[in-house]
Amino acid sequence: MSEMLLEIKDLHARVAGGAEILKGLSLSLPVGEVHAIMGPNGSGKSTLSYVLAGREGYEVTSGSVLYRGEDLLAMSIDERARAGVFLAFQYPVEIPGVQNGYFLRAILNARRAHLGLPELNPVEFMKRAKEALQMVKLDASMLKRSVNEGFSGGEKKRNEVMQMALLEPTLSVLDETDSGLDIDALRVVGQGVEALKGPARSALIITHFPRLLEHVTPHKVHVLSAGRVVHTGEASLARELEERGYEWLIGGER
Amino acid sequence: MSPSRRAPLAPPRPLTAAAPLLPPPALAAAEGALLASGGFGKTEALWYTPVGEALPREFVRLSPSVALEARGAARVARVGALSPERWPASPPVTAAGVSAQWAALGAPAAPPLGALTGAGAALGGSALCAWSDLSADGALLVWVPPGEEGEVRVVYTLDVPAAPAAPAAPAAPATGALTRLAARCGEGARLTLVERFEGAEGAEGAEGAEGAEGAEAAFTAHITEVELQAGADLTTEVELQAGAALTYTRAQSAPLAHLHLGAVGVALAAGAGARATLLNLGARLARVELGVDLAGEGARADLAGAFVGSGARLLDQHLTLRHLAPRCESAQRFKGLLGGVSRGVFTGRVYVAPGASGTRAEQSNPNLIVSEGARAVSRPQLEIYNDDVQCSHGATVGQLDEEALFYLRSRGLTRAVGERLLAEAFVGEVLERLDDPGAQQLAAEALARALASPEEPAQ
Repeated sequence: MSEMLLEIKDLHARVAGGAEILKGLSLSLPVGEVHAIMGPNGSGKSTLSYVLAGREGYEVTSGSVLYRGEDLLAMSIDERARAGVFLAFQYPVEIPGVQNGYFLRAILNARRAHLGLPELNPVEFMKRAKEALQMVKLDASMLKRSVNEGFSGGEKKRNEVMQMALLEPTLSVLDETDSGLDIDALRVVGQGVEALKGPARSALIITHFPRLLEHVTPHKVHVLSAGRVVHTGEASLARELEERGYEWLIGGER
Repeated sequence: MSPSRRAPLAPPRPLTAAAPLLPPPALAAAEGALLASGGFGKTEALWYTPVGEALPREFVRLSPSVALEARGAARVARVGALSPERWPASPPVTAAGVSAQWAALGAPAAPPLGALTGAGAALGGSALCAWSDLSADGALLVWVPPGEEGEVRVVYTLDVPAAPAAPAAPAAPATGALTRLAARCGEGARLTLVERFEGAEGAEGAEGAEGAEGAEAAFTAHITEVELQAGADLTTEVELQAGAALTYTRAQSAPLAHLHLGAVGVALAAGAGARATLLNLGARLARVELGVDLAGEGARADLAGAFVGSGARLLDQHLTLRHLAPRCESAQRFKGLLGGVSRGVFTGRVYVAPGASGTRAEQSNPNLIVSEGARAVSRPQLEIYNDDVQCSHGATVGQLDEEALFYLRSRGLTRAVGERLLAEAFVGEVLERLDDPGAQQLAAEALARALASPEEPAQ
């Protein structure tokens, strides 16, 4: 059996004080693999991404998450990020007044400090940033704008993928990164994600529709329903779901 | 210098007579009456800021040390005990002394002392001005001749002599200084004026502990008047004459034990423009009044400020803008960032005279509260006697955006770094206006203090 990057075991979680959303979710992601998580609305996809990122307001009531053999849930939001966990937001947050270029350099240097690498000076940073911008076909002028402020939906998602390219995370979690994108933006984002595949890097692609999976081929597809993984298949499962919907899997489950 | 620039609408200043220093007993009596009666009592204008209670009844007068740089065509003189050491004796603060110094600078005859320039009326009714008129210790006079350009940067530091170790901190400041700066810009002149108020090193050390023992209580009271003549541009107590232009920066970062009182009056003649940026960052209680008279047609005032509170500071900014002539424009953008158990008070009064048609005035006062215990008070006051105006105002009180903080942390920045980025972004619009590295540094230090400020003041 290959080495596991992420092992989620019997995870139960809820929005603080609310009803349970994840109800015994188990999933293993080997090093170097890309898995897709699909499921209907309300199945717990976004909750899973927030629990993995450590968002406040979500409570894990039981179960465990091991990241490289360590207890991920014991780490703070920013410790997780510096350790190589990256969440691409479904709705990236606009932060007026914080310049995107300054922000990108700060986050890259925070990650590099964690890895024991020296800080990049502004010139070295610009070189990296321009490569990453080119990959997602964003103009360099966006470095001067405030983080995500006034960006179109497509620009926001490209900016997420651009950050991913800069930070080179060990585990990327893409939360509905394909939602709200036109065909061209989808292709750019898909190619960006595909380019980030590597032997030491893994990703969870959380998606409602299989469109992104036409550009990124996952090693496995998990179907989430009512807070649990109810079915796991090969990449071809995505197409099957598009044709047949979720009913045939979920119906048998309960 | 035309009489029309004098606002007919404000209440007359209590003490505008040419006031040579009173003989000591009479001065003491007049000061005592002002301080006790009422000048700083709990009036509407001082509702949230107990200046009267904070002021000492008896105190020792000090002369602040003044570091001054003047460039370009700006000419500087002084009167009284304000003492850059490179200047030998100067005339005392009397009407004759002030007139003689204006004449020595080559400036036109000025109004008598009490209004060092034509800008005094913009501060009409201020008890601080009345007090300063009675007994200012010293003043700097700045003149920029018509059509010329100059720059003046002043740093005031109050060196409070070390008191013998006392078991308990004094309840009120025991030492202080009353100072002024009066600037006048001739027609078409441009002035950049920067005033910084800082603590002495020793007191600054105590600042880090937020009022720990050892800090010497003191107060500063400083008036800045600028008269901009037509088309001139001014910054500080500046009298802007026709068409003149002023760029003014005022940064107050006194030690926590201090009381800081400031008043800035600007009078704008036709076509004159003033751009003023005020940082209110230090002292235990800081009250800064800004009075601007848009007295000539087409004058413009672009005013912005940041007040950044930590510990138990009370930071009060009190603006009075008077649109007295047609087609003048004003903007006020004041941002409060408050931590610890600090208080911020913003009062922005806009008066539009019956004849001031075509007035445009906008005002905004967003506040960001970064602790449980801090509070902000925002008081927009519009008084409009003309139908042909566009006035807007907006005040908000909010907290750090948790969504934005989560986003920053999810990228590996610690909560502390994320909060700093968001705080800097909040006041960034104001700080971007500063061209003075010293003022920028004071702002950065104040932001760090506000974000690290404990909920309870140190014992």
